[in-house]
Amino acid sequence: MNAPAEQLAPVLEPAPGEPEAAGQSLWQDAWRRLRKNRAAVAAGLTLLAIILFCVVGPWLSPWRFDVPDLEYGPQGPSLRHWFGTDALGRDLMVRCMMGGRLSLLIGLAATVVSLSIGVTVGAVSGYFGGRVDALLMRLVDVLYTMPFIFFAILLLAIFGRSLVVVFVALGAVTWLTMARIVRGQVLSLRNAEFVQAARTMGVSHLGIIFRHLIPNTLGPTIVYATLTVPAVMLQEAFLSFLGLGIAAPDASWGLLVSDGAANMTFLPHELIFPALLLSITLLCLNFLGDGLRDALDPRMRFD
Amino acid sequence: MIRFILRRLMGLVPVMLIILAVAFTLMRVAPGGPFDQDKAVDPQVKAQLMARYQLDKPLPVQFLAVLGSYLRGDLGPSYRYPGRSVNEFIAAGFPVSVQLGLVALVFSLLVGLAAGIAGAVWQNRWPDHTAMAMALIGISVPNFILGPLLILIFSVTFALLPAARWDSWQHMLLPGVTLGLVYAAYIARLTRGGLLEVIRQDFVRTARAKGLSERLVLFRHTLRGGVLPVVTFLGPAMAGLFTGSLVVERIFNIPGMGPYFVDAALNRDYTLALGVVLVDAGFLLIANLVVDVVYGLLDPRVKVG
Repeated sequence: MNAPAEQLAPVLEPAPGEPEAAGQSLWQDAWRRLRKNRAAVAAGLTLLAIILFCVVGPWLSPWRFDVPDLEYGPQGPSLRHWFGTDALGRDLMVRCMMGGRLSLLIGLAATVVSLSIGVTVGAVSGYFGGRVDALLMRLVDVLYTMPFIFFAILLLAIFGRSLVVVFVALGAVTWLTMARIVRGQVLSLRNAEFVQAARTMGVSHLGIIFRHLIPNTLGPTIVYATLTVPAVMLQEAFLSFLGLGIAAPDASWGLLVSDGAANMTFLPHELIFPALLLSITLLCLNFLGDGLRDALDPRMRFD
Repeated sequence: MIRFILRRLMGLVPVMLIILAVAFTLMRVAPGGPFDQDKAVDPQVKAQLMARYQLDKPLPVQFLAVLGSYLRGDLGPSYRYPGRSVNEFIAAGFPVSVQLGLVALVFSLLVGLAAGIAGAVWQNRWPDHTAMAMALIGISVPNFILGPLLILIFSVTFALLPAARWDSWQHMLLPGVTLGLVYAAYIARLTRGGLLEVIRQDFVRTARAKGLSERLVLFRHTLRGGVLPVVTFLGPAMAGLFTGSLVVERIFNIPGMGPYFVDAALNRDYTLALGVVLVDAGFLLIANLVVDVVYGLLDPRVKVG
């Protein structure tokens, strides 16, 4: 990660006409390591399949997620409805696809919120150091001790169950660790030669932070972001289960599981299909995150 | 040591104040109050109610009044359930929630430590692979899926264990496992990782070299250093146990604090919601303090005091 060649790259660009060195960049190296990790590759492919299933699926299905099949009613899987139908007679497969779209979207969007806050706070804190750092990190410490789920619940109960509130509430809960990770990285880089070079050339503080420092923290940030997506999806499902997430007739996997749990004694398939999809997705994201961590930063390895 | 604990306890006071202030402000700036019901209330009656609960005063005054009554140990009256105090709700719900949390914690520690030790002792052999595969599954199956599945299997299909309520030890098994499994999985991974890090260190080799049995080496020397990551994890785990209990209490119909909090927030029952936040946050902060103290006792390198 801190290979000198990497750090000097923005300063020492190869002169025109000079052949580029045939070295391997960090990313090529990481990609090669990731491909050798069979579990991570399988997880990535499964994930792609699930995403494709959820995004493309609803267009190919003859059923709609919010219109019940009245002559069929609530029943288990059959050729007509592959996953069966829910208690109102709506096709469960299409509902699972639509739920997956929403769950995945929330996972990604809240991770973006968490990334933007966490990376900015962490980078500013690490770069300026001193009082700014002390203040921001005390703030993070205090927020860490807060039982944040309460605040997410309060936010949702108070401002209504809109998608945006879900993003913000979940993003606001997960940026703390991100800020700490980025701060640590920036702290170790802020006196590096390439930063001093940029400073002597008159680059502004913001320019240094966003152009030079943050790109160098990408590795750990990507790893942590990959692990944030399942965490956020879990939280969303959890809030939906409590009746605080997405409102019907829209569906997320959490809401589908919640509905399924309510009817499980007579329609067990209504619980099992969304539960399987959610669990497999979480499993794959965790595998992929672990694989990325091993690939991008071998020093962070578990054993 | 005592000075360290006292200083930390003092440090909790501002944190508690911030938590209460944020929760209080959030609830008060929200549109809608506890007396805005579907049925229109006579404006005069509403004004009287507002005056009785001091909701007509400016916010800082209200906040100070709330803090004052908290200091006297009075959590105030519930807005939504006339004649019942928040203290009553919490006295009824809190012990149940704590019991549930303890059952889950004990389960996760027993299973997690055993699996982690097995994984480290037989590293890269089948017990290790089995334990770690189980742990990964445990991490990926959320409790709100596990709970209904367990009910489906053990209560509905085989009728072995009760599916709801909180009366005897049989009632505690399914909720405890549901709540604790995720933490068992994390603890297993952390124990294995921690042990593997310690197992190669010189003092362990010394212990072996002086002829101690493998069991003594493991339990007296390796484990003490190896469980440090687990102890660190217990702080966040406590927070997670509380969060999880919101869901588990709902699934198994357990009369703890979780359902009250969600309903109170939805009904704008300010005093009840704030009371639950106070008790839960206070409990969490103290649990974290205990974890820090235990950490200091286990790791001689960490100087506490």
